[in-house]
Amino acid sequence: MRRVWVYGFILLAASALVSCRHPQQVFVKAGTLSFQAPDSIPAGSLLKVTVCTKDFTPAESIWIQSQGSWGTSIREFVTGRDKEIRFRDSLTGMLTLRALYHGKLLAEKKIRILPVVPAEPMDSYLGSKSVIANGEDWAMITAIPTDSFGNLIPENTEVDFLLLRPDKRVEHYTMPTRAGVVYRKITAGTVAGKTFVGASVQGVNSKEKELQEVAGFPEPFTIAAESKSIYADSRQTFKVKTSVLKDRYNNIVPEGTAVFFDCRDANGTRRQLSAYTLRGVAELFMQNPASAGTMTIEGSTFGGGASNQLQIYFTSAFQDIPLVYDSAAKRLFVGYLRGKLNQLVPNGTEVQLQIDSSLNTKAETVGGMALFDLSDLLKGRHNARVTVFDTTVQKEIIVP
Amino acid sequence: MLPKADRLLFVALILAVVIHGSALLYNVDKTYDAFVHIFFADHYARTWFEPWEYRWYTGFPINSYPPLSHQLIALLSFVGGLKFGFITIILSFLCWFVLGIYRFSQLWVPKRSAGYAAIFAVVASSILQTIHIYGQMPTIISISCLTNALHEVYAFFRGGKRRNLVNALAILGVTVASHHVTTIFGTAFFIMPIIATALLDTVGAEGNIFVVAWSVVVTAFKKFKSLVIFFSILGVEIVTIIFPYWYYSKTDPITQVPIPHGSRDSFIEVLSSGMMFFLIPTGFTLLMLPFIFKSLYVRRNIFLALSFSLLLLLGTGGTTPIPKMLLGSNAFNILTLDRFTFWASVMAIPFVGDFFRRLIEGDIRERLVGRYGKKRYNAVAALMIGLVGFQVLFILNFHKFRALQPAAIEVQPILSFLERDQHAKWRFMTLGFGDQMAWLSAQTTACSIDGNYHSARRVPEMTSQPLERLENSKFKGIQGLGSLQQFLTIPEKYYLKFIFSNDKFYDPILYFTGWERVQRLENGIMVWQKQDIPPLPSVLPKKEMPTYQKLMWGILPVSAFCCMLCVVFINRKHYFYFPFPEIQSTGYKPASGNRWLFSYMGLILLIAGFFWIKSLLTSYQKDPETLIKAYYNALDFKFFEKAHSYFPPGSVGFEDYVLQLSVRDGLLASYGKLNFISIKLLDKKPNKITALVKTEWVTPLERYHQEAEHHLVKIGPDWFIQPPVFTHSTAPDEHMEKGILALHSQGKRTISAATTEHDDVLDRPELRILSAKLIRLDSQFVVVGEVQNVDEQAAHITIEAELYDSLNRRLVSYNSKYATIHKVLPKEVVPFRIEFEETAWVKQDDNSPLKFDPAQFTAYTFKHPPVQFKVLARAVVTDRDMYRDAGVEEMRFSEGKIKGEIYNYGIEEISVPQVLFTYYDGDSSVRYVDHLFLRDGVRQQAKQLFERKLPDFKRVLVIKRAEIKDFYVNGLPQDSFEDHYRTTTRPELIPLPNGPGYTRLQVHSYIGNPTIY
Amino acid sequence: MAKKKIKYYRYWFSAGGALVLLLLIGASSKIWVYFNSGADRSTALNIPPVLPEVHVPEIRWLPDDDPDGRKMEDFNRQVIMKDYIRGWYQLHLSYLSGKPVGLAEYFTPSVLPHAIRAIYAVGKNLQLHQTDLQHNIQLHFYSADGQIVSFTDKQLVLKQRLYRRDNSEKIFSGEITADYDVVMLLDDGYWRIKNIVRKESSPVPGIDTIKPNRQGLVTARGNRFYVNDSLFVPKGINYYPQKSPWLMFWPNFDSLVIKKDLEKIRLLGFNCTRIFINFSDFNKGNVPPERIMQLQSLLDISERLQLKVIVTLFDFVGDYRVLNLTATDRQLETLLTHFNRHPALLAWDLKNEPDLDFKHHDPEDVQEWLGWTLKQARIYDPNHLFTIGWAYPENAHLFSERLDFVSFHSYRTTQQLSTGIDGLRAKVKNKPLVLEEFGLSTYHGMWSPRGAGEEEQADYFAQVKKVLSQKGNIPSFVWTLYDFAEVPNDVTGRMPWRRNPQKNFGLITVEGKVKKGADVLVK
Repeated sequence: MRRVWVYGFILLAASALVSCRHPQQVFVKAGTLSFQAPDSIPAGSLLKVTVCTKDFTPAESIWIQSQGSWGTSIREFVTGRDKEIRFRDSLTGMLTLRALYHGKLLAEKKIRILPVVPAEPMDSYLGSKSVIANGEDWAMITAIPTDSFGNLIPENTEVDFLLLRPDKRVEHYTMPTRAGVVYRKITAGTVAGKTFVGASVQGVNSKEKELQEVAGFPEPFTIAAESKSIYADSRQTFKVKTSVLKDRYNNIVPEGTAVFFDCRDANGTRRQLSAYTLRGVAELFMQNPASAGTMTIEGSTFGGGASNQLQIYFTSAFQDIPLVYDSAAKRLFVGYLRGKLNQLVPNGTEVQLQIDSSLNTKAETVGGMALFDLSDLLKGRHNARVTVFDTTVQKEIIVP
Repeated sequence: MLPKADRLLFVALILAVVIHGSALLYNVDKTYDAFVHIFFADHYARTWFEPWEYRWYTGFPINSYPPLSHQLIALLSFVGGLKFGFITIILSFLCWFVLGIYRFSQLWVPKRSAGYAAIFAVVASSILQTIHIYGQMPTIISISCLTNALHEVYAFFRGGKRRNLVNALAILGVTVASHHVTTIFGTAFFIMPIIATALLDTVGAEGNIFVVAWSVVVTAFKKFKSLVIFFSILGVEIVTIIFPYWYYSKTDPITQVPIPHGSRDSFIEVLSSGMMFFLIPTGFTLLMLPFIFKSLYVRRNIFLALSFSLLLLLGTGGTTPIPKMLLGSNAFNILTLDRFTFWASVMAIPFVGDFFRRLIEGDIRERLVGRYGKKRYNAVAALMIGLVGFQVLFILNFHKFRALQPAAIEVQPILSFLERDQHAKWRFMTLGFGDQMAWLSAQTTACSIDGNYHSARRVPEMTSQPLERLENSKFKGIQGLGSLQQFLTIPEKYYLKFIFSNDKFYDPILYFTGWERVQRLENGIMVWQKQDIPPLPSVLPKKEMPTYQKLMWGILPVSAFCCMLCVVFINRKHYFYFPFPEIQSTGYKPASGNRWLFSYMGLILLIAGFFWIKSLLTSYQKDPETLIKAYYNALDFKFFEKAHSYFPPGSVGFEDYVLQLSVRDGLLASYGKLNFISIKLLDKKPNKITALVKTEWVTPLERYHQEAEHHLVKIGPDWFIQPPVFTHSTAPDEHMEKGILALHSQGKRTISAATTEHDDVLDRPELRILSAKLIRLDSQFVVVGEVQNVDEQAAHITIEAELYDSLNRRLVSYNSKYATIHKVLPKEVVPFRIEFEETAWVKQDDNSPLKFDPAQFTAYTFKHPPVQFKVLARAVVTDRDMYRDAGVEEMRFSEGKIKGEIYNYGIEEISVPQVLFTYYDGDSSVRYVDHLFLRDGVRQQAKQLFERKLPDFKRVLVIKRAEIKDFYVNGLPQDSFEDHYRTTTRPELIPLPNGPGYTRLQVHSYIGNPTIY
Repeated sequence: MAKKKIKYYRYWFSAGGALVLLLLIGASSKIWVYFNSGADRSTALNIPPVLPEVHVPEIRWLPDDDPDGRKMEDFNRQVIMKDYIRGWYQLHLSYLSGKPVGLAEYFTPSVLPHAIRAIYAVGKNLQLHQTDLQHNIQLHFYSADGQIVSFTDKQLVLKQRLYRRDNSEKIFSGEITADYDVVMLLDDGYWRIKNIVRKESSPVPGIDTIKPNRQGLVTARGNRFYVNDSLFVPKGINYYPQKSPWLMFWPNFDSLVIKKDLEKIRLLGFNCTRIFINFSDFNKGNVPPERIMQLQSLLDISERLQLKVIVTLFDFVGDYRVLNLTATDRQLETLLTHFNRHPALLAWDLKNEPDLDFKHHDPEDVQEWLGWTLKQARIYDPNHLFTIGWAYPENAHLFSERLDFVSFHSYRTTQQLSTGIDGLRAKVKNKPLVLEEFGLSTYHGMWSPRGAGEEEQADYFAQVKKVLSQKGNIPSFVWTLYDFAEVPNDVTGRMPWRRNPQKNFGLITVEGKVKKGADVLVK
């Protein structure tokens, strides 16, 4: 099947219509013709063009082409019958009238159609709807005032711009229109907030426009830990909070700015946690480390400042790990693990057992005690190593 | 006065309208194909003469299916809507079929039996199945016309009247226009034997076979002129009435997608196909086979006998290799073979009618009453009629036993969504709608990327055997258009913006390719949307068809139908008149035949009964392997009660077990489907076994292999499996308080139907591509890099990479799929990785897989190696799906692996956590990007271990490192943005253990069911 | 009939019946398979193609006069101009078809009605052909967020032809020039015209014309040709490779074959060749770099063999309508500016036998097209000579005052040739004349039984040479080097009696034997 796109189809169909027959050329003596019309008229008013023709045989058809801003319109003027042609063109620009008789240009007249008084509402556009409040970045309020027919108003018409800045200052500017457009550069202040802009020309106003002035990249900030315990039980959490993140001009950073936390634990492992700011403060719940020692936490924003290195010291959370082997039931009790406050460790604390050099099996404490079933252990002497987080205990087991 | 038709015919007609009419009202939206035909009808209702259909598959010509049935519905739809049109047409042609069977039976059996045959035609299982299970309306129309025409063909070749010829050809015209396959094969199986029998009848079948054969051949030559006339006009009809079909079907790829059809399986191995494509269509006829064969294999019916037995053989599909040899391998793979069984069952109806006539008032009745007495006879007759009744009820309510379609979906909320806010200016796609997608398309002009042209007759899991799963309804993609992964990764290529999902299975893949949940409609359908997709262009490409063919397609089929109506109306007086002497059924002799028939019937019923009872009583606990299989099947189907029943009594409380399982969320637990299981029994002790079970799970994102050790213990006669051990970890806090970032963008500030105003269109957030590299991994080219959202609003980011060869010709462009975060917070830095694909399954030999394959990837074949590349990132403001309260803990390098735990310190439960690994060079520019989906979800304040192999950097070959001029942000070159930006050191980078470079980890999480506040 | 073994016939009969049935099923399944397989899967995906722009007028950026707006990058200038020009093109298409076509994307919704009203204002019974030829853009304003732009389009020349729709009689053809103040808005992915105001056309700073530098090139003085002031008498031949004549020349371009052929021409004693540039094969307005490289390699080979080349442009295009002017302009500019200093180039032949098109197109249109193309060509290449290869001497006087030398073709008898030359010489006083194409086919086969043999060709050449030398030894280019095995039918039409003779005009037969006429020509 051959593919034919729709545009191509229209072009071909239309042009085939014309090129198949060519007209013959006839020469005839041309009379003279002249246009009488004002040089310029306001848009929308009636334009009467009187056409006076000399020594034309009556009922001859002359084509009048009027080329305006938006295209060409063609009327037939029959000598003897018509006297004048009427236009009611609402679009400004230079209108060129041309009289054509058998392919020859008889006369040409240029009429300028001028815009009328500007009309409601004036279109105005505010470029880049948000700028960084660093005193240098700028946006632009552009207005395109038009008259009631939508034509551009004349050059150098004064347009007033009124701005209300975030720091409550009011600015007033008057700018001339150039090439149909009037604009004013709005340089950002250093206070984050909303700038409101209104524009008006000769009593005609436009809608209110808003410009968002936001904080830039955050400056270096500090982080602190709150409500932290001292025991490395790898379960309870403590809160890490940043100071209020601000940019160079003390504006609080926008909501949801991403902050990345990196932390080195005592046992050499790393943590990579992410959070975002709410009213400038980013906070997150960190879990106590598994092993005793100091952990260092550092926050950072890419492209902005980083934080101080927060050091926190944790002591180990367990007293000792009692082991009891019940040879009758062939079971090993890892019994009554107690935290530093003599409290039982919470259910689900992980206990790992390694017999000689076999794979270590895992069990969880229930009621402070964990149980390993060694029923399929061979006879003889075995060495059992039990680890709970970072503390390891050894015991020898004899199977009768 | 011409003899009137048998009174039973009118009983049959009334029965047909009553039974089918009432059942259809409920079954219409539960069948496979009803909606496809309704959709085509809707096309003709909207644009009768324009065969190009925009709404499916980026446009396809609708003249790939004979139009008459759809055009008739379209005409009726102006009266009472599409469903009314469908039901009326199917009912009226059903009555036409009953008439046809009545007149077709008169060729083989006496008139009274023809009446019974007409009644049986109403309750024949194949007709019931075609209407109420398949909804195949064109087949009904064409078979009804064929059977009516056969009578006329017989009469013409026997009596030679011109009226019969005109009748036959007019009716056959409609067969052609409604279902061309029936005509083509119908000529071979129906018309040829009928003509041969007619010639045999003119000669008289008695006497020496040789003489008979010789005289048949002589009459054939005598009637040669009429043979030529008949077949030439029929040939012309076949070609001209649907000429555009023949002209275009050769070049239309959509209709030639090979479908894995159950009717080609071997019916013994795949029991469900056997039942669906052989047992149900034959139904009661299967019990009647001895009777039918006995009465067929008589000298007069020899031709029909041959045709019937051949049809039955072909109908058995893959059970025996013969059909494949007969049809040739590629015809075997294109044709669906269930139509042969259907034709065989239609051919058998007259003889079944004859059996019932003789059973109720004929010689079988005398025989039975004579030998066994009245009571025994009444029992047998009641059993026969009871079986037929059971068959009717079973098939009419078939969808209650095994649902063929997802539950009926209320389409109105989706339609109002599409009409609102110009949503119809983009393409949409439905997931998990089954064939109701066609019903939705029929009511809207919005276009869908997926179509439902050929419903693959998805047969639900029938057998009781665990793991016997034929449910391959997961959407894989379309040949020549792309795979599901491609639709989701580069939707702008198809202008695809909305997805209506009725199946939770797809949620993870939708989320991780950058789609977001817009709203859940009133009918429970979740609407997914991809941001930043351009609207459909106002002029869509279409394949032009010459206007004369469009006119032919619109006029000829309908005119064939009207001319059939007139011709039949003109000859209505002679319609029931069978001018030839009544045929006596001589084949079956009750004396000898009964014993065979009823013992055969008894045997079949016994077998069926045995199968049924066996499936009821099977207990899976007799043998450890079946126990493990049944246990995993229960887990897969979430039958927790059944799973619990396999544990030793008292080992774990049922509520506790169910709570533990249903609370667990994660890729495997909520979205996985069991695909494969292998069991190895380790040490076998009399009552204690440990078994190593290897299972393979298919999830929307990846395939998972799992190995688990199960301990089985034997208590009494049954085996039991030990329950899994659950974690008792206790979260530190019961009540958590946390500030949440909540964003909302209004779309339009004033509620108006006009297009969005200039002020309401937010600027595109500004991005900054930090670094990017084109690397080569074995034979595959990959672009990796990092992008930051430097704007103050959260951004939905689409990152595209374009590859160029040495002559600066653009080779391919593709978007980043899984290995990135699509919704980025202000000032956040996210990695991206782009692999390049070409449209899936375009080459002739690679067919789309049977089942959904999560790892589906059609690598782009590079003819010229790429040397340069561009990265184009574009962003729009977003307001949802930015859960960052999860991080990596205990991260360490050991034995060439990165190990760690994901810790969820937020307030939502993470359904599918993803860890993104970004590797950097010494100068902290991105070197490689990797990602990992975890199997299990992470509850609040809980942890989940993960480990990932470090990439082997020797295999990663850097082709080109991009400069700033290769970066484009929001369509503008990146160097045209001034950067208020201080390059800072990056404290969060972790130095790699061996060699220069760093790494950084990020957690991206999918929240399955976010808390609604 | 004798009763023979009855038993067999029963089996024979049913076996025969079964066989027929099997055949039928096999046959019908074959038919079914034939009609349902073999489609090309890639046609399933119908995505709108990205077509190169057809309408490509020249765009010149004057220095911006925007004091403090954003500096506009070139990337953006292209994007804005693409949509601005496309807006004009949609207007031209709408005027052509009389109803608005695709205007919605290129005008803001508030001003779209004005554009649509303008389309209908032309009137039902008239059809306006219009195109914009050249834009000189001066940027006034480019807003901060890159959404609004205001510029003036200076000296925009609109070429217009007005026809009556019923008898397609041409009412007038002319140009109209004006300045346009344009304000455009980026809305929904398209740059749309928001306001356009027509103004008096203001002067445009002169473009830096290419300074003529004819050093080392062929020049024409009086009736003769000179190269660096030494006389140069062209002895030329029209050239197509044997295996890839006419349309296949550029697609199957092979520089080795060209090199061998040009050496053969040199050996035969010729010092000039004439080749043809197929307009659509050079991709109309967007000439692909490969084609320029191919033409470059041909000219370089000719230079090495001291062969001069006449390059005939716009071959196989008969489209003199206004809408084709921009594509013509762009191809002209690309080729001429690239080769305006190439020494091997004898002259550009603007159009091959345009007077044949007087029958199919309006002669006024053809001449207007030729005049306009010549004016543009002079700007792009002030160094080389220009000519037009007229089909008959009677028309060769056209444009003779603006051309450097006058060339004409003659396939008629030598008597008509000499009278033609006399008539031409009467009208064209001191300009060199060149017989650009002449020849005689040595085809005598079924379609023209009494065709000329090699002897008749040889003495025809001799007579032509005699006439040419009498008329002041006018240089000549014989048609053509090779006999061709295959002639595409859009060269001579489909009729075999016109196509077959065309195959045997060569000086070298299909087998490679040089015909007698060759040495007659050169001595």
